[in-house]
Amino acid sequence: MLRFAFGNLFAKKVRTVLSLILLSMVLAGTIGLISLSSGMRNSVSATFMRLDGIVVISKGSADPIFSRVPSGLAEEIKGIGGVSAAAPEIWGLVAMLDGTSPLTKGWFSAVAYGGFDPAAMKSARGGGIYGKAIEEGRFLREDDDGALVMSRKLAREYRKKVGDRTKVNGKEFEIVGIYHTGSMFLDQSLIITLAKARDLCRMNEDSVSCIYVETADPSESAVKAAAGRIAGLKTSIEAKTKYDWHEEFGAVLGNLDAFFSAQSAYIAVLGVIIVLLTMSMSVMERRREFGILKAVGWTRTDVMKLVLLESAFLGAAAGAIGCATGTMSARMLGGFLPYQPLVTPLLISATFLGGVLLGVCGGVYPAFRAASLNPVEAIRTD
Amino acid sequence: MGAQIPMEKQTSSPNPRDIREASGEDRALLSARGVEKVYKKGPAEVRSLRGVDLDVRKGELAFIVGPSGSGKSTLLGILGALDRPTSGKVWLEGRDLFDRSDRELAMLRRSKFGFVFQAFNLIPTLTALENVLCPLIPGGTAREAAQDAARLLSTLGLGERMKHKPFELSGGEQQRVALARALIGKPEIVFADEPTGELDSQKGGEIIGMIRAMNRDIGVTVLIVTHAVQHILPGDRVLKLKDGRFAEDAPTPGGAPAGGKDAATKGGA
Ligand SMILES: Nc1ncnc2c1ncn2[C@@H]1O[C@H](COP(=O)(O)OP(=O)(O)OP(=O)(O)O)[C@@H](O)[C@H]1O
Ligand SMILES: [Mg+2]
Repeated sequence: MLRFAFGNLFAKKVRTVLSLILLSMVLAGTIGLISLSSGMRNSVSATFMRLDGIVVISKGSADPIFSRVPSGLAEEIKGIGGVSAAAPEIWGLVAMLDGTSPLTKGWFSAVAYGGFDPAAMKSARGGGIYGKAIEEGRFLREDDDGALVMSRKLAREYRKKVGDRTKVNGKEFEIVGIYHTGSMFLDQSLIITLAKARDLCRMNEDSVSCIYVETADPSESAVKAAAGRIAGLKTSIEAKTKYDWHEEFGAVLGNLDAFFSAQSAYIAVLGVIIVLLTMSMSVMERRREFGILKAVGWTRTDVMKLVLLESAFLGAAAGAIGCATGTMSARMLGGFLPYQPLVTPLLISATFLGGVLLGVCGGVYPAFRAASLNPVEAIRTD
Repeated sequence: MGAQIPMEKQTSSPNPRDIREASGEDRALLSARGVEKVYKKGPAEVRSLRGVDLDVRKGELAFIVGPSGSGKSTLLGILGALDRPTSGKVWLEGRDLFDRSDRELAMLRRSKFGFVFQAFNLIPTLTALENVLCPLIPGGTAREAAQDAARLLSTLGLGERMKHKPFELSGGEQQRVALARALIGKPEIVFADEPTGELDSQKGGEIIGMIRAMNRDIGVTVLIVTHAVQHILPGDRVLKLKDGRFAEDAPTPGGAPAGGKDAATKGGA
């Protein structure tokens, strides 16, 4: 019966191929959407997992770029028990990099510069987020002035290597190191000294953007406890841990998930309709054939099985093609995006099974129609 | 009372006693009493069969003839358990044929009946051999079944064409494949509805000849609906259907073992 069902499917090639194309496009679309969202989630988690410290910013500022805290706060924080490092940072947006605006480089191309105090970063584990991500060259040193550490991604985009010079908002720097974190957020930064950053954004001496804090004990409870105590120092500041960032972003991603679920439901309905139409047409055309099968002793169940098998095959074939094209297009999309869409074996097998399921669901009604044919009448129709 | 089937001369509506007798009759393989079929199309009613009585003995070969629209196909469909009658009864080997579920009827058609239709009998996507085997597909086609099918096709002169699809076969060849398919389940009865309808007289004669041969050689009972009276030989049992019942003035080619006026019950050779 398997071979029979398979043969029937490809008897009407044009129709089968057409519905295969439609159905596999639909399934490839799901792969695309889901891989985009899980790739995003992956990238975001990768970012947060790297932040083992606490970032102290002014209350209500979503990002260090928009934050101002007193310079003296770092010393105050160092006095809190369990705190092992407290390093001031100054952040600003890069308007011009080497004579062009980074925003012209496409989607998600904004670049920030971050001013770091190399002396203070020394006490951070591994030299901090950027310090431990150095791939080539070195991180900032205390005696640096016009030194700059660039991400591998930006270095490629702007064709730079260690030893090259570059202009940030009109000021000259020398690239001394290349870092790579793999995070779409962290790899958009240029790391310079605190003094140079203050110069670039004309911030006065008594302020910095934020303070990066680490605790000697990196466990969740110790980090949260320290954050609580830091927040208690002043009413105008907040102390954010990676757990806080995660939570905030989780809410955004939750919305994204709801959106993707709605899309998937819509896609499933579309797929079922495609199968339903294809198989209904096929059954109507083959009324006589089903009449003969029933006449020669096929039961209702036998006929149902045949039609369901055919539509399951249709779904499986569409699933296979959809998985292949979906994976390929996700790879291609990855070339244009700041992060890689994530195509997991689970996603592929779920999509394939989803295809089979769509096939079976869409085949139920046509199968029922075929099984219910009265053989005398079906054979009579010519 | 007993042994003999419809003694009485009634034509359309049998009395209950006859039914009981008919059901007890062991000589008749297939019996019908008062079979009616009414098709309802909205308010309009088509009375396709208006009380058919019939007895078919094991090993018999009988022709059913009659003008177009007289109900031949309808009758064959009911005798072959493809459709249920509106009223009346049919017995197979003494047991009420329609006292079965649809599923049981399907299994019965698979194991005891064989069918040949007028044309486009075959499944276009299957080869000749697969078509012959197709009644057995749901139950699984064993290797022996495939050998049986190949043997049947060879016997019918299609040994070289087993792997061909129906559209690669002539009408006569297609009908021979259909015949092989009708025989693959080793049926008790073969029902043929105008098996020569789409063939020229010579090819039609060949098919009828093959059906006669299998009736003679393996003793399968055969009911053939046909317009092609030239294939009927003297001595054949002929049942004449007119306006949904058997005509009283049907020819009586052979003896009349069952007696009575009803042409339908008159025995053939
Ligand atoms: N499904 C149906 N609905 C309505 N009327 C029907 C149906 N099937 C058959 N009939 C009618 O029943 C009558 C008998 O039909 P049937 O097909 O049995 O005739 P037939 O003797 O086989 O004719 P032919 O020699 O043309 O094949 C016809 O008048 C036909 O129109
Ligand atoms: Mg007919």
